[in-house]
Amino acid sequence: MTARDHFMGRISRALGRAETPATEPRFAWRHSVHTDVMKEWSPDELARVFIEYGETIGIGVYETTREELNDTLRTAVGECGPGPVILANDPLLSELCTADALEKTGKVRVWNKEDSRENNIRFAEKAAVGIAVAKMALSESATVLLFSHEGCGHSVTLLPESVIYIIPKSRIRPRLTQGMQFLRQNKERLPSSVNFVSGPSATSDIELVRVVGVHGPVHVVHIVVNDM
Amino acid sequence: MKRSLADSFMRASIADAQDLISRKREDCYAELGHFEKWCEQAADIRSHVLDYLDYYLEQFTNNAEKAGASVHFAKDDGEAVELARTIFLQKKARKGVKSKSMVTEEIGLNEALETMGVEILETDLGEYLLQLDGKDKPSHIVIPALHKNRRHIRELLAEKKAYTGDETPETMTRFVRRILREAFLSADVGVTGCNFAVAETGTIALMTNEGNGRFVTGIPKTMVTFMGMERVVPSFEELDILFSMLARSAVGARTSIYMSLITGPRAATDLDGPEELHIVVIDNGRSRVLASPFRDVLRCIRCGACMLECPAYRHVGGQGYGVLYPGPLGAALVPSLAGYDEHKDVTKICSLCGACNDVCPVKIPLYEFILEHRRIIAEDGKLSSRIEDAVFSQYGRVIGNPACYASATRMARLGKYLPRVGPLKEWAKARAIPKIPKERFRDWFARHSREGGQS
Amino acid sequence: MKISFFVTCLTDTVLPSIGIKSVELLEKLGCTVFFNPRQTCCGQPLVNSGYREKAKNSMQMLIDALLEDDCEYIVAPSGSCVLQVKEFPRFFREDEIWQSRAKRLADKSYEITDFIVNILHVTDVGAALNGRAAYHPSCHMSRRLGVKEAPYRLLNNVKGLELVSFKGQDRCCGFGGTFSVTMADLSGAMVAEKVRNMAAAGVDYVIGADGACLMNIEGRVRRENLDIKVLHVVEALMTA
Repeated sequence: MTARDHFMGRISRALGRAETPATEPRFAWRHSVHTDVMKEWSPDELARVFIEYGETIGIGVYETTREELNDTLRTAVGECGPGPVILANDPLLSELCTADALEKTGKVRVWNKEDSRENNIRFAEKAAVGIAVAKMALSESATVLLFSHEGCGHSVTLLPESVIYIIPKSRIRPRLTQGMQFLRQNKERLPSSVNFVSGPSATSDIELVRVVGVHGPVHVVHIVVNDM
Repeated sequence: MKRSLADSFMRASIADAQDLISRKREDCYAELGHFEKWCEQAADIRSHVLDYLDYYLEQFTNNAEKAGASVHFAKDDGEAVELARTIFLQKKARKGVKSKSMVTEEIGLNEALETMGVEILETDLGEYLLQLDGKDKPSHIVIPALHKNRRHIRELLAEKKAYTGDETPETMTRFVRRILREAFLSADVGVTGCNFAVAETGTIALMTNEGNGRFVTGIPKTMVTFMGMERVVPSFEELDILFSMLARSAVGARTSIYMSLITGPRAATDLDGPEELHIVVIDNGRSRVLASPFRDVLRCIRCGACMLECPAYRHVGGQGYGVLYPGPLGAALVPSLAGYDEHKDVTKICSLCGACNDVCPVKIPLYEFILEHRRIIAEDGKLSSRIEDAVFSQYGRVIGNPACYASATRMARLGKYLPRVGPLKEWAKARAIPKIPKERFRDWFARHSREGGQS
Repeated sequence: MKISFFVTCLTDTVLPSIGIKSVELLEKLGCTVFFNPRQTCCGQPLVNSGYREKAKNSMQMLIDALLEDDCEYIVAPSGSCVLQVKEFPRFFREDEIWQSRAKRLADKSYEITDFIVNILHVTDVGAALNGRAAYHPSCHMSRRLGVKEAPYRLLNNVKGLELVSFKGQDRCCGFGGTFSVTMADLSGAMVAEKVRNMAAAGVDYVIGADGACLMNIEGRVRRENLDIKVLHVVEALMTA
C-alpha cells in the first residue's frame, strides 16, 4: 500500500466505509441564486456596470472601436507614464499591428517565446506598461479573465507598473458564475495558469488603511472595444 | 489572555476592524440578495464534498497528476515537513517565497525549512511584517497584523531593513514592494496554500489581493502547494459559490483582486510559470474530525467572519486564544483537530451569544459545537476540573431537591455577608453585586394567592 | 386562560420584582396564573458549562411542576430559560416517556412578551413611562429563540417612552452564565463597552427581557455610578 492508499483509506474509514466509492456521487443543486444574477441583461447594461464598477475600484476605463483601438492604446500608454511597453503575443494585436503603432511611444516588445525566459522576464520587469487581451470579462466585479500561455506569460500582466486590458464588449458576461461555466466547458483545453483579475493590487494590512499597488500592478486600465 | 485584554491598541484595532468589515460584509450581501440561499448552497456543496471526500480527493489527485503535478500525502505535520524538506533538497533550493497559508503555520513549515538553511520569505504584507518581527503570531486569519500600528511597523522596518521613510501605510508598502520584488524574481521555490482544489481538473485555486499569489505561482521554477485535505470542490461551478461567499464574508468585497487557478506546471512552450508543481495534501487530524460528530466544522472556508462578529474575540484578539485558529472557529475546531488535553480551555472563551452561527457562510453550527465540546469535557472525568465538578454537582443537587432549593434560596439574601472570594470576587471585578431582596417571588406569590390573587 | 408561571431561579431569588410584575400583568390581561412551588431551575448554568447530566433531576422536576396544573400555557419572563425548556425533548431523547413529557412542556412554553403579543394578541397594555430608553436584545432570546419583535411592539405603545438605538446594540452584554465569573475579565470588558455605548446614547432606562442580562448590565451601571434605571419589559409595562 502506498502513502496515497493509506491516506485515502483513513478517509474512507472515517466516513464509515471500507474503500473509496467507485461511482461518481450525485450532487443536487438546491438553488439557482447564482445563475439568476443579472440574468438576461443586455450587452449594454453589462458593459455599463463593468465600466462604472471598474471606475469605483480605481480602474481607468476607455471605450473605443476596433478601428480606433491603436489610437486609444497610444493615449492610454501615454497616460501611464514613460517607459517600455510589453505586449502579449495575441492574434488581435498582431492583426492590428499594435506593436508598430506603439513604437512611437517608446521601446515596445512582444512576449516572444523564441527568446529566453530570462530576457522576456527582464524586459517585463523594466516595462512601464503591459498590454493583454482578456479572454472574457465579468460585469459584476469589473473582472478580466486571463489565460497565460506561450504568447502571454504571467509576467506581461504582473510585472509592469501599469497594465492595460483590452476587452471586446461581447465578451462581457454577468459574473463569476459565467466565468466558471466557461472554464468548465473548456476544461480539456485549460492552460496551466488562469487568472481572474479585478483591478490593481491592494492591501489593508496596515491599520486597515487601503493601499493600492502592493506587489502587482499599481495602475490598471480597461479598454472596452464596443464593436467587437 | 490578560496581556491581550491589557493591549488597548489591539483591542481598539480589532473593534474597528469588526465594525468596518461587518458593515461592508452586510452591505455586500444586501447587494447580492438571498443571503440565506447562498449560505445553504455553499453549505450543501461543502457537506457533499465531506461526505465523499475520498472520492473527490482521488479524482483531484488523478487529474492533478494528469496535468503534470506531483501529489504527495502527509498524515501529520511531521510527514508534511519531511516532504517539504525532500522537495527543497532535491531542487537544491536556497530561497523560497510564500503566499499566505494557515495550513503551513499549522505544520510549522517555516521553522523546519529554516533549520536546513533555506530562506523562506512571507510575501503577504501582514505576514511579512510578522515574520520580520521574529515569531510574532497572526491575530486574525485574514488580516494577520491587525494588532500592529503604523508606528510599530515603521520602527520595525527601520530596525530590520534600514527604512528611512515616513510612517504612512502607502510609503511603507512601497518599500516592502521593492524588497519583495527582488525576492520574487530570485527565489527558487514558490510556496502556496490552497483555498480550494478542483477535483474535476486537478486545479489549485488561490484568492489573493496583493499580487503575491500571482508572483509565487508565476515566476519561481518550482511551486509547492500545501493543502488541508478538506479543501476540495467537485468542479468550477461549485467554486463560483465558494469564491463568491469567501470574498464577501472575509472582507466585504465582491471578489478578491486575484483569483489564480493553476492546473499543473507550465506547458513546454510557456516561458514563465513553474516547471515543477508539487502538491502536499495534509491530514493532521482532519480525518479524526471527519469521523467525529464535529465533521461539519470542516466545511469552513476560512473567511474569518465568525471572528469578526464574535464579542469575545473583540476584546481578546487572535493571540489571546493561544491556539492557531482563534475565535469561534478555533473553539469549535481545535479540540477535535488537535486534542482535548491541550486545547479544552479554548471552549471557555465564549459567552454563547450565537452571533457566529448567523454569519457563517457555510452554516457551521459553531454554537452547538462549542456546547457539545463543553459537554464532552465535563463528562470526561480526566478532562474536567475537579473543582468545577464539585461545584456543579452541588448546584445540581440543590436544584434537584425542592426542599434543598427552598432553604438555599432563603439563605441567599445572607449572601451580602459572604466574603468576596471565588465567584463573588470574580463578579465584583467589573460589577456591583446584586442586592438580594428579603422576600423571594415564591413567598410573594404564596401571600398573593392567600389574599385572593386576581386583582 | 390558565397559565402556569415558570418564574426561573434567578427571578425567584434575585429579581422577584420581575416575577411579581409578570403575574400582575398576566392577571390584568385576564389570565388565571398558577405557580407550582416545586419548580426550581431549568438547569441552564449546568448545561451551558457542559454538565447536562447533573441537571437532569432538576429538569424532570420542572417538567412535572409545570405540567401538573394542566394549564394551557407555560409562561416565563426569560427567553433563555424558555429556550432551555425547548431543548428538553432533545436532552431526553433516550427516554421515550420523558421525551414525550418534555415535548408537551416545550410545545406549551412561551417567553412572556412573545406570549402577550402572539397568543393574547395584545400590544397595548395601557402602560406609561416617561423618558428615553434603550432596549437590550438578549442573545438567546433573539438569536436562538427568535423572539425579536414582540418586546418592541409592546414598548412602542408605552406612553411617554422614547425608544432609542445605540452603538453595538445587538452585541452580547457579556453575561454568558458562568462565563461572567470564569472569564470575569473578558466578561467585564464586554459589559463595560455595552454600558459605555448605552450611556453615550443618553438614556434614562435600559430595558431588557432576560433577568440575567439585566443583572449584569445593572451591576456595571451601579459600578460606574450612572443614572440609568435597568428594567425588565414587564416592569416598564407595569410602572403606572
